[in-house]
Amino acid sequence: MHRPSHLRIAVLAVAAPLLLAPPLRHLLEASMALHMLLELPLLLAVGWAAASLGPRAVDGASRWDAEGLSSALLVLVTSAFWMLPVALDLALLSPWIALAKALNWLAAGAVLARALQRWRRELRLFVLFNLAWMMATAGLLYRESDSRLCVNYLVDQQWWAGTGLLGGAVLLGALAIRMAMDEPMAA
Amino acid sequence: MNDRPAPRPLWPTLLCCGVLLAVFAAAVARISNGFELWTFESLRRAQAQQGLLQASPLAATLSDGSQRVLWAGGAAPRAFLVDFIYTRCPTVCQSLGSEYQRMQAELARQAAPVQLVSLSFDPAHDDVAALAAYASLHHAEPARWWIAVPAAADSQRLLGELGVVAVPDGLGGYLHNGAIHLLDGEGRLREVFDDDDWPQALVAAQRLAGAAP
Repeated sequence: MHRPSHLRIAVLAVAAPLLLAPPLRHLLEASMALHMLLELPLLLAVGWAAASLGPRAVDGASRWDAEGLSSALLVLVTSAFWMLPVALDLALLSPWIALAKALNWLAAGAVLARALQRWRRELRLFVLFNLAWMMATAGLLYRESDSRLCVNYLVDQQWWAGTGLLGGAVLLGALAIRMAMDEPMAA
Repeated sequence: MNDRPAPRPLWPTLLCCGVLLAVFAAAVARISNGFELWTFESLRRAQAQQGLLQASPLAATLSDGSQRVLWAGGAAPRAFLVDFIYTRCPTVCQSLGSEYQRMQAELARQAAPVQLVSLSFDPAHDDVAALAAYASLHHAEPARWWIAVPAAADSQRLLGELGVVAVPDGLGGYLHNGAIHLLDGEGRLREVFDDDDWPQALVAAQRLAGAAP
């Protein structure tokens, strides 16, 4: 899919200061829902935009990512890891974990920008359904829990984050179903 | 999958996936205490029981205006029961205050070198007068129950060392994890208790004070 490069520049121009300037970042991270559902996807988008702005290298990485398996796994494990309550807390309490979080999501975005073209329809469906299932599970757990799962967030923030995750899961699930109903593209 | 001739060997991808999975599993195991604990608070309590959380000696101003260095490793007290308060708190701190009052009454009947400490994490508002008002409200005996405030930087350092996080509760106050913290004479965090578990906290403190050499 072709996207004009000014969209990528816009993503970088809007998202990079939001993620790099501590006061703005803290504003995002003060809410559990914004932290999970805005900051993390923004990091992914910045990684994506930065990587796709750079010169398109010879497709050497595909040697390590046959059929897109490695990149799909990277997206899935990254998403799973940062849905753990303890990971979210540590990202706020330890600067090293915060750095690891940013690098992890930026890297996932950068890899995805190059790798998505290698993903076949089946793999895209698999990843979408998996993400939807993970987000729905985490969302329900976050919504149902009466106790605070994160020391940095209150129970009502947890409920909103859970609701947002459920919404995201429905969205991704719907996207996957739509994609599944489309005719597979001729190779 | 192997019956079709692949244009490129699959092993680099499999290796890459293996490394990714290994890193993921190692990271999850590391932050969840071996796939057992999934919240920061449960992890912190496990670390406390393993003696991994150490508070540095803390200089604080008490409600009578005197200065003291807490858990500096002297002879006594051998056990501290520490809670974190801010005197403007209308809810939790006040109920914890009444629990401290009951612990104070229990301790008055025994000679165990257990020290009750309520530490304010709101140095901006809690001056000596505010601490004194809190002490008088809860009938704190100056010798058995210290109500104190450290300097702002020291307060932050202590909260960091013990893994206590205070977040705004949206109503103008704060909420923080854990309630009663049992520290030994050297400032090592031994156990964390919820408000309701003050009798267990008291027993553990007495055991620690009695068992210490």
